[in-house]
Amino acid sequence: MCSACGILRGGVEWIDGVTGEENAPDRRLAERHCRMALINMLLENSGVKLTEYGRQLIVRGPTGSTRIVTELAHVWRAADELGRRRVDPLDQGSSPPFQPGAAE
Amino acid sequence: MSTVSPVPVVVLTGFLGSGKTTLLQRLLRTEDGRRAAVLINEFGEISLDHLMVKSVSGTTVVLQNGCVCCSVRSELRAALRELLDGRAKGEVPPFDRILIETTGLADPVPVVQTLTVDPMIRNQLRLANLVSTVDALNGFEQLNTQEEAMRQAATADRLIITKTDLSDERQVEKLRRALAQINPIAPISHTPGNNDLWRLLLGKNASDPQSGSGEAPIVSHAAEMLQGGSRFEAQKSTASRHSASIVSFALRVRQPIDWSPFVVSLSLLVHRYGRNVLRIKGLLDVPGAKGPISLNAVQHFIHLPVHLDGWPDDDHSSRLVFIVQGLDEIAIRSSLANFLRRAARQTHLEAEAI
Repeated sequence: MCSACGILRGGVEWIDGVTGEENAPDRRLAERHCRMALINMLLENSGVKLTEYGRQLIVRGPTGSTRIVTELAHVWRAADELGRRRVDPLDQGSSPPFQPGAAE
Repeated sequence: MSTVSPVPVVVLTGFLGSGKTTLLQRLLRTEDGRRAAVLINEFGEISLDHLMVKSVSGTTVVLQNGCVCCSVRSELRAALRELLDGRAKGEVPPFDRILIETTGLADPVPVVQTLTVDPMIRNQLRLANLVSTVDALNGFEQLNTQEEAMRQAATADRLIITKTDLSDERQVEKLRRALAQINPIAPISHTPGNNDLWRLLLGKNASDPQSGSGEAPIVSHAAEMLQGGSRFEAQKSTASRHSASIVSFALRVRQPIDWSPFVVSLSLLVHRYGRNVLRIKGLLDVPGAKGPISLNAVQHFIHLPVHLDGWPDDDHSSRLVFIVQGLDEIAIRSSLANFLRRAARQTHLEAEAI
């Protein structure tokens, strides 16, 4: 576990506890779903999807292979293993969410 | 229930011959030094008769099920636990500070990581500052020829120029300017007098909620200087002599930053390029947060954000200072901006659909 990993679970991690909304119990689930949607937006070109099954989080690759993850860094690592291509935030050509046109 | 403050830990780095051992010896001769526990990489030629000096070898392991950035130094972890156990049992003299000297380790992240992954260590210790010594005689040359020296300077929270008594003012000033270009967010000191040594090492640091506000003006000032243009240009020309240039730049965001998309994109950036992202420090205006958020990252590792009581000046826009190696500033700027815009639009559409 590293400090950049806590986005998807409880506990004190660097991504949590900053906004008032995150701290409200009724908003935590919504925040979790919001972050999952954002992660899936980044993964969309790799064929990988992050899903929820009960309380478990599963990264599913384009061939159906899966990894159970608990932390954000593990999502990226699983996506690297399972995906068609690695998501590169600095390569706008291969990552639509980071392209200028994506904002329009 | 009694609350015990975590013991501050200083990580001391510096290129070979940069004066770490001399600094260490001076630190331990002070009154405060008697309350310090010291972990050093190897005894070698160091001559220390301090009661609490231990040797730690450089073994680094990756934790089972851990990500790449979760490498820890196993013997350092064992040594820290032994120290804490010994203190609890009264088997070692009481100490209120720990100094870790990392001779030969260019990368401080495994050391930082070691302080945070073990629950026992995490609850009892806190990282105070990464401190790097730079030799006034040879430092400038080393910065230009030794990548490790450059990276140590770039990742530090505090820079100490040593051997100033052996060099002339012009030499020291030249080194100071080079260091300020490499790392504009680290205060630079000459080796101070004994009374100020520990204060310099343990003083204000951005990872401590008690003193995070002291760091805010430094970040704010660095961001302002970097946005001024001239300093950044000088930075680029200095760093271009290296195979993979180290560049610092500042981002300013005038609208409040939506925290979730920001952390998701930042976590991906440090996952993919952690070794190249040497430092990030920032003050963020996040909706829902009372006061600015202080962000502090070293390569893959991101400290818990610190809530500050107030802004250092009238400017309440978010500011982030990056020190990167071999990465394109424009690509980082546009990547972050584009994703934040896209996420905002997505959130807006979702809200409309409800």
